[in-house]
Amino acid sequence: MERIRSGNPELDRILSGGFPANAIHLVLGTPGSGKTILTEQLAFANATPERPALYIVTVSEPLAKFIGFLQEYGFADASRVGTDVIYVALGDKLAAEPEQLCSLVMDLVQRHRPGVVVIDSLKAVGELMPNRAAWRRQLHELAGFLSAYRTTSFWVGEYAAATASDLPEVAVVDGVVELSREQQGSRDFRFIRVVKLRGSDFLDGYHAFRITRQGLLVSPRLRTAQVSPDYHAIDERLGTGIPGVDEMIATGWLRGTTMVVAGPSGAGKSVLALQFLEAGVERGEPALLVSLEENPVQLARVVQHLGWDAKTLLVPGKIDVFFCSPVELQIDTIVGELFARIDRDGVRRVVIDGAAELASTASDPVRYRDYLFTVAQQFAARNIAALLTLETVDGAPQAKDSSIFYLADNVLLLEMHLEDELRRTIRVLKTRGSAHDARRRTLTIGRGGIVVR
Amino acid sequence: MTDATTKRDSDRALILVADEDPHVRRLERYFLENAGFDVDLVNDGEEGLARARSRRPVIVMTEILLPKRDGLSVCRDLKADPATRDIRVVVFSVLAAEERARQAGADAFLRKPLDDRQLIETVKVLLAGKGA
Repeated sequence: MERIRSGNPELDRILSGGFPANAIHLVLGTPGSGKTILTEQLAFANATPERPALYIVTVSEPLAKFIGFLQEYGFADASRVGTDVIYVALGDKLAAEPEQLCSLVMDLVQRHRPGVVVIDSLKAVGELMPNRAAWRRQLHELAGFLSAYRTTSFWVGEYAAATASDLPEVAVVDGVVELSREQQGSRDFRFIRVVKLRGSDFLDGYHAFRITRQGLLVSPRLRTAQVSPDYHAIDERLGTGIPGVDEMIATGWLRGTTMVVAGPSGAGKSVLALQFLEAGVERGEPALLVSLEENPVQLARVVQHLGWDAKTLLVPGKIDVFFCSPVELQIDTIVGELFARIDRDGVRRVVIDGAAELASTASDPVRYRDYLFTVAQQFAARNIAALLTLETVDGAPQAKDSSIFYLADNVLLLEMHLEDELRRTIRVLKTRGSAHDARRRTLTIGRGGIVVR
Repeated sequence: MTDATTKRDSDRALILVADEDPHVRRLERYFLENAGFDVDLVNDGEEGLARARSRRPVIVMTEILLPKRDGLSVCRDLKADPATRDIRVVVFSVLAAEERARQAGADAFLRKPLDDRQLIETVKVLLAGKGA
């Protein structure tokens, strides 16, 4: 099947390679959801002087204003406007004679011979029609004409997805893509979803996206790992790098498992995690540290305190540091970047420090739980040893973090006892399929890191 | 008589288009006339055959899926008749039927939707006697 690029490689992946060419697609969503940016991005991605993109603006808004905003985006090369990408304003003509829509589009297509046609917005024209029958006639004619010519069309509309199935527009198009925007607290979450794509496979569900200066940046929903039938777990026992810890679990720490280290602030979770990664580097295993709490400066200070050189250790290929602010990012974006870095460097050990913060980056608890499960499955399928740190309150994990404990193969609990002297301890709360030493052991943190007795 | 329209300019080569889809007829007429041809339009196979015999176009451009008589049958009849066998036939169809078109004697096959560059190039190659 011939396809055209969306202008975003990740969206192309969701679409199984791009939008089917020579078809009509409906891009729907509430005002401000990003429809125009998506269609302008794909117009610029596909346009050439020989096969330009024809962008028909139907709202009664000055074209200069429309194009003015466009130039804020990196994909929009102003020198290509008028040659590769041709903007035409039909707002005033359609306001006077809405039933001329099809005739006007036909003339423009014949004159410009475009490879891509965008009508933004089609819904605005529908609202001008004298009645529903007239609108249906226009849609039927328009769809017939655009299907007869070798061009890929995008109709943009401010429709709500819930009611869109009753629209005559949906009946005549080949593809439907929905953009949505959800507000939660002070944050906005944006999603893109393929509703229909005739003759093509696609990745279903809601995929997060951000609007940046480069246009839409889409993070495809993480799918459960496809484990091949001949997959078998590797019984490779790993070293944590911490004297005394490895002996607490009979089978040791196995590759492909996820360990949760829980404890209050100051108990040594981050230090333990760093030692785990450094032990891997010593064995030539590239590592990734996802830090949702400590910024790079704080992290470098801890590393120096442990006696390591932050400048040579905290680099891609050794310990790649991905600092992400849970205030700014969505879980989809964070997880997408995490696996991109894993694939890029062949990462063997991963730490997510402050994993509970991921909950605030998901739009709802179900999405959060789904993501955690899928991430753990992906780690297992790739034989990555993972460690997640979690904050405890009053010595116990918080109820909201229960999903993380369920998915973990091993759980270590760090505690702080405020006696005459501060005493730190470590104990194994859970191991999957292995005997373990359940006793508390004393943990000390010195210049060389953690030692357990 | 169908709703087909006829236009002839004596010093321009005539191309006959047989297609039931009004949008395809409109587009073919537009691009072929712009390229310097005279264009005659019909929307069923019987009328297409009759018009080809009476007007002797240089090229017949036909869809396979036509009312009354399909485009492959039109092509076979034109190629079987010594009076019309020199008319070039282009099967232009929504169907992936290149082999069937060749077997019916077509000089060229094009798949829909209409690509104006491909259409004009094919016509020019046929008229230059190179085949397509």
